[in-house]
Amino acid sequence: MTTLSISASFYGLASRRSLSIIIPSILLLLGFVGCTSDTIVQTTSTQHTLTDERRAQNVASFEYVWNSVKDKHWDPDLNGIDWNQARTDLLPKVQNATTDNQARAAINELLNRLEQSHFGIIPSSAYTKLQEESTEIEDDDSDSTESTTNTDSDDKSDDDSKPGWSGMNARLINNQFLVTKVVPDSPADQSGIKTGWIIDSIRGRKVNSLIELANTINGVMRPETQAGLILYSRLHGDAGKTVKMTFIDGNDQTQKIDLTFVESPGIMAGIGELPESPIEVEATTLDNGIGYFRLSMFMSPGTVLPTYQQFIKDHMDAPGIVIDMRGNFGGIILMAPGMINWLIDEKGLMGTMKMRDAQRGPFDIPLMLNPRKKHYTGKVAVLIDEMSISNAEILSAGLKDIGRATIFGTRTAGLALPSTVERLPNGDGFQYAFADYITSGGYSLESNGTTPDIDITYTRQGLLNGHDEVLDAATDWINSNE
Amino acid sequence: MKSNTRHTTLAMLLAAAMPMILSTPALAGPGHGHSEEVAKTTDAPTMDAKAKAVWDKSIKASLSENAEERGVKTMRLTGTMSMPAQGINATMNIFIAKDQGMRLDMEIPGIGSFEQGISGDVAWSNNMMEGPKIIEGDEAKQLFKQLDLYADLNWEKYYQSITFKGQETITLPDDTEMQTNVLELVSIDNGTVSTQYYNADTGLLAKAVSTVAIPGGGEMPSTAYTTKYREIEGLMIPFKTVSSSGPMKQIIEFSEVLVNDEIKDGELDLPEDIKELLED
Repeated sequence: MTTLSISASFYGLASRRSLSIIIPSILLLLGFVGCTSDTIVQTTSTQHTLTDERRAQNVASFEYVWNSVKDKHWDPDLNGIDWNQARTDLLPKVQNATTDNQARAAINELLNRLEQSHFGIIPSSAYTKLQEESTEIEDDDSDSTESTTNTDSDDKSDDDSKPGWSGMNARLINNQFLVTKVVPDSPADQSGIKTGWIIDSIRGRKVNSLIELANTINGVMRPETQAGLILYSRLHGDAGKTVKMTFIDGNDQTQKIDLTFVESPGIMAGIGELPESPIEVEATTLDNGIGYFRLSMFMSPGTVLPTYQQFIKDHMDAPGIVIDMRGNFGGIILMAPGMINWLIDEKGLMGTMKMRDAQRGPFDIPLMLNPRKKHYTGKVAVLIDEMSISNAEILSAGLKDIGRATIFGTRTAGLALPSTVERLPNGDGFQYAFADYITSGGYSLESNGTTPDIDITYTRQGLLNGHDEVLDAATDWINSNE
Repeated sequence: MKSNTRHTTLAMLLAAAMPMILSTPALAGPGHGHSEEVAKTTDAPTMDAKAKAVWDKSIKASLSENAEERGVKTMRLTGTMSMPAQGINATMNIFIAKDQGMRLDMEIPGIGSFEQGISGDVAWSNNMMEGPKIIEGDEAKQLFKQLDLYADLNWEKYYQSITFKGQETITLPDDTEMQTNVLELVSIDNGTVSTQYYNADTGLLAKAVSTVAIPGGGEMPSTAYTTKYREIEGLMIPFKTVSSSGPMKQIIEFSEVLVNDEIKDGELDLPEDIKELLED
């Protein structure tokens, strides 16, 4: 609801400091999976013993989180969790914590008990530029039996560092991380990386350990989403930073590549306590006049929506348009109906947020669709995958449920609870879901995600041949008489 | 006699602004649970004696002795809307011309501008996300009520009953306690029940628990605390309102309130985008 009707998913957000991005993304990620966060998060060894004042701040933060969930969770039964018992179990851990990370892990453990997405703690370092550089990549240290030597260049981040980017995407397909996209002239392209290559190691670590970890953790997140988010964070860092990677190329030969990040393209955008991230918007015309629109996050509506509106106006006579939601991490929820409104000719329901008011109990907020007077009437294809999160799921489900689009790809992440981010007394951010989201089709997107009409994914051979088979399927459908 | 409706009007205005900012989307109504509704009656509106005493005290407290003669035709309010927990801050301008129209402009960094208004007999909204829209149903009625700056004097137009429910100590947002007189108001339109708490000492409205109409014909619960009253041109205006709906808390603070400021050229005209919608 309210301005903050954001279903902001924080995963992998790139804030001004990429280090600070990685930390929250991983913490949230792990916070959701129900594993013992402290085995993963506690690895910070550089932190000093907490002062009494700091410990009190952490305790106050725990209490704030506990009370917020108790009072604001849309389900008065809190998903069946004994919340008082959770407090009894975990408050001592915060009281006895000797580092911030231990306290944070205990709070995340509290939130883990809900077994729902969009509950997590964002370290204060995501907001300040002062501390915890050493915690950058410690998520899978504890499980890895392989070399953990970090062969990366020294962290070059400083206060002027910019979020950096490699220019490639990868997805976990059949237990292999395949490069699915290489942006022309990006560092990945200039390094000779090709689609269809298999990522073998990053920063000196085999990705197999990451895949195994993702497959063995039983949590809210699907393994491919979980692994994908961690990989995403590995493929982003401060501009100027170099990471060592190895790949298996199209001839099954190992390629060693030092990939140096450059400043991320796109608009820097944030809202409230959600740190800024680079937002990529792509609006173009494919063969046969088909429109193609891709958005990496639903943020900066003042910039993104005019681009989208112009895109629609420019393609009013197109045989079809493609909206690519693959790898979209969500954002401001209102942007979803705002986009759908350009594609429909009658009012309708996009979905319903189920909420609870402390004084007056449960209530629903339907999200209505309100057609634009001059709207697009041709075919609409939406591309999704397991990295389509939150608002990307809401938009795709919204279009699917009203029969306005055909959905191509693989099932979305199922992490679709509308959430907001607040600051805690200890300076950390607290992301919490304040509503359940029910589609107009009557089902919850959380856990379920949006199911494609046409289930299709990449193949290694297709990628090696330079094809995006999901996009190809969509354009074939648009060009057909179906 | 004039009304004290500045406070209720403002409180409602703020509440009305909330769904706008809120999911400006096209919220449709919640419509269950909290919103107790009673059967609409054709009987004459009623207000019991104790309620009338509280009501009259409130009106008297809200107006200086000579306020009646001034005649309030317009109000212009400038201020901010913030959601401190989320770090959201917005600028806000509201203009209301009695029985003519209103306009609300809000600029929220990171989201964009929101406009809402009444021009003639058309209630409308426009923002980057939702686009131009004609507001209808209860949401429109709620907006039109803002044009009645004397709504409290005309309470029979809006409530089928107002009942004294006793005294209650409430805790204000700054954690201070206040003894209040509590009235229960039943809307004449749809039987929705709201509760208003009046400072037992000053008579001024301190808290309102109500439902706010949202797009699609539904309602959303709202709890608003009206504080920091200041006298402007003989009217007691709450310069700060702390409201919550569900998990979200908003603070609306006015930096300036002008009474009977002139209507600027075109200020209440229908925006072109709205005119286009009406052409159908």
